[in-house]
This record gives sequence, C-alpha cells and structure tokens, in this order.
Amino acid sequence: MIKLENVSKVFKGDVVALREANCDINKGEFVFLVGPSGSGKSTMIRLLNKQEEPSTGAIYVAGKDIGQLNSWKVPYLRRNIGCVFQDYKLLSNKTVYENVAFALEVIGRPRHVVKTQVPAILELVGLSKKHKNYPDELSGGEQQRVSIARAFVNRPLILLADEPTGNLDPATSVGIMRLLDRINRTGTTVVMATHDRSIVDTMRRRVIELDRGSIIRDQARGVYE
Amino acid sequence: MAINGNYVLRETTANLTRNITLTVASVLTVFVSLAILGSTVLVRQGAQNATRQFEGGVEFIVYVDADITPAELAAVKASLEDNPGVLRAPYVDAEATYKEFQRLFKGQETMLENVRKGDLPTSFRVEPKDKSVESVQELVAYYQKRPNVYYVSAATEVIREMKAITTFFNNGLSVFAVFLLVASALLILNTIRTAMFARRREIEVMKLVGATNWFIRIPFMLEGLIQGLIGGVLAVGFVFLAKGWLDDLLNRSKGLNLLQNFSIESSDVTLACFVVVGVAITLSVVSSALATRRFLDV
Repeated sequence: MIKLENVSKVFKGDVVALREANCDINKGEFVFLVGPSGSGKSTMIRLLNKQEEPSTGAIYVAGKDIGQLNSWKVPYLRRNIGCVFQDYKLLSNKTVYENVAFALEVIGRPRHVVKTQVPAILELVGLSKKHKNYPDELSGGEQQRVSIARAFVNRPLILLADEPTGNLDPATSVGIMRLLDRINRTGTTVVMATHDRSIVDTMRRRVIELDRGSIIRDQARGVYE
Repeated sequence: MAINGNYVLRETTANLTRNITLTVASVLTVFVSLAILGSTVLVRQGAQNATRQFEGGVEFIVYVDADITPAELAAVKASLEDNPGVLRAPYVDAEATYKEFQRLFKGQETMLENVRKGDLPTSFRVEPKDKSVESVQELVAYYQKRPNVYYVSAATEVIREMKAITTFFNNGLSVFAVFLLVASALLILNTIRTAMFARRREIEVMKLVGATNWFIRIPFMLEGLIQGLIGGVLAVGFVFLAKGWLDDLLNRSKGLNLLQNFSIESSDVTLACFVVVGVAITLSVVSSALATRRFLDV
C-alpha cells in the first residue's frame, strides 16, 4: 500500500528531516511512527499525501509513484488518504455535521450521499447527539472524533494521523485509539505518528522508530523502546 | 467533477458580503473607469461621424454647380485627374450625396422636407499628394476659381481643430481610463486575496480532503466576475445617460457650426456598451485568475 525507496528530505539550510528512508507498509496494517520531536515523523506523514515533495527517492502509494503524479491528480490521491492532526483543524464557524459534510461536498459528492454518510459516520464516532454543536462547544476528545469522522467519511484506503492524542489526556486517548483500531479493522491502513509510550506499548502493533531522520528500528508488534 | 450549484452560490454570496466595503470599493472603481472608457468611445465615434467626409486622407471637397452639363462635369474631372498635385479624386453622385445629407441632418425634419435630391451639388472628394496646409490651400484657391465650381470646402481649420481637440481629449481620457482600469484590476485582485486569506483554514481543509483547485477557485473567481459585471452594468447605464446629455448639448448648440455634424447614433451607443462590458469581463476574469493562481500552499 505504501512504499518508500531511499527517500530523503532536506529543507533549506541543509536541515535533514529524513535520510534514506526505506519501508514497505501493507494494506490493512497499523503502523506507529515513533521518535523524539524533530526525528522526521511528521515529515514522513506529510510526504505521503504530497504536502511535501521528497528531495530524493521514490514514494509509492497504492502502487503509484506519487512523485510522477501530475499536480492536477493530487486531489484524487488525497481522496484516498484521510488525515487527522494534533490540532484537529476543524472549521469553527461550522457545526459538527457541517464540518464532516464539508469534506464530502468539496469533492463533489451528491447531496443524497452526504445525507446518508454523515449521520452514519457520526454514529460510528459516537457524536450523533452533538451534530448541531460547534467545535468550541466540544471537549478535545470530541473534537478529535469529529476530525476522525471527517477524515474517514469518504472511506479512504489510508488514514494518516499526526499525533492525534497529543493534546488529550490518557483516558480520552484510549477512546481515540479504540476508534482508530476500529477503523483499521475495516481494512484501512493506519499510519500514526506519536510520542505516547503507553499507547504504543498497549497496542503492540508495528513500530517504525526514527532518530534524526533515519529509520533505526522497524519491528512488528513492537513497543515504544 | 460535479459542481454543486448550491455550494457555489452560497460561497460566492458569503464572499461578496463578508468584505462588503472592499467589494463596494472595487465595484465603484470598475464603474468609474468603465464609464470614462465608455464616454471616450462615444465622443470618438461622434467625432468620427462629424469628420467622416474628410476621412481617408481627403483634404478638400470640390462641389460643382447643380445644373452642370455632363461635358462640363467631365472637364472638371479631367482637370482634377490631370493635376499632378492630386492623388485621387473620386466623384460623389447625386444619389450618394442625398444619402449623406439625410444622414447628417437626421432628425432635422424641416431640412429633410425642403431639400430635394436635385438641389444638392455633387462633388469630388480630393486627396492631394502633399497634405501640408500651404499646398492644400493653393489647390483650394486654384479650384475655387475654376468654371462650374460651386464651392470648395477644405478640411481646414475647423476640421483640423476638431480632429485635434477630440484626439487630445480622447488620448487624455484614455490614459486616465487605463490608470483607473489598472487600479480596479488591482482592487479586485486584492479583494479576492483578502477573501481567500479570511478563508485560509477552509482552503487548507479543502485541499487536504482532495478538493480540486478549480473547485476551490470557482467561488472566488465568480466573486471577481460579479464585481466586474456590476461595475460594467452601472457603466453601461452611464453611457446611456451620457448619450442623452450629449444629445441635449448638441441640440442646444445648433448655431455652432463646429458641432452641427457631431452626432451619436444608436450603433455607437451599442459599440460603447459592448466595449464596456467586454472590458469588465476581461478585467475581472484576468485579475481573479491572477489572484487565485497561487494560493496558500498545502
């Protein structure tokens, strides 16, 4: 599903964010990216949906070399990749329902699809009762659920999560991880960057550890360290 | 890509009303610049109508007596054609003269009723080789004294001055209009940039969930187009007003020889309106395209 071949990313001023990274992630896998801040986790995530271009190397997503992709095809790539962020990136002037519906509207899904898909996904994340609320009327955990609903409403092949529990307390984080695990069990490949030791140690999934831009460990059913 | 009309309508209206002061500013600037442009077109057309007889290098007109015999006419024609100072001298017969008379005195019923085709002197439109004032005056003086010549009308002071004045005004106004058009283009561009900046978070989310660039752009481009069109429609209204004012002015100054031939026809108004609307559309589409060409990278 995802393949990195000798991928490096060098930012201005010779800041090496990623160095000769190689990895192969299969369909339906759940992968943790771990490592200290600045080790290249976020960069790796941003490379996967073409928010950044690699300096060298090739990245394959769903069998396609995304470096060769025409710029007008990038939106279609992104429709197959859901994104969840530490800061949720919800639109504060839209309700929970509108935030999720927005993701379908802007890719031109017909209204009847929006009307059936949005309530279904809000049910899945457990927010049916709050669909009329605005984001700042929700707790952090609820906001992250909305963000996950928005990322998953289009049933993408891949879900990228960049520190989704970074702003949440441990109990709320467990709920978010249950949700991501459920999504993973529908066959969606999940790649999650995290600092959260207890989550990684509890879940026992594949762990890719980064240090100063290099992959130093790639372990099935791994722990944080 | 299916575009939801409802979505586009909602977003465009929201954009237009969110920055209402900026929107009004751009609409007004577009209006003023296009109104000037439209008036320039009208004045230019009017001046062209007034000086049409002297178009294409014609510097003077030799009118022959109305009761001239064919032989005498041929003599005048020969004298013109054999003159080395004359480049061309096409003959305007009674039929064409009457048509032109009807056009020039359109709306002045007494003139039209009382003048018959046979009353009008026919003429030769003379284009001299050397168009300097001195040489034209020499030729005019020469033909004035020829037999069977009724009158020689030269494109002298009045026409020359009229041409100079209208050219001067038109050039001045055009330069003015160009500056204002640039200003309005920049204002539209800035308004759209501001709208996009206000909605950068939405744009970021749209890009991340895979909205195409065109989908993101269309509401903003429509916003620019609507601003341009409103300004353009106001300017078209102004062109009609200006036509009314000019007509009033011309009617009041019937005694003024200078303005007698200065007429604005409805085809001229149509032309001015097309120019105004065309420029409005081009202006707004180009500036919207520029504004949305490079937007916040995600």
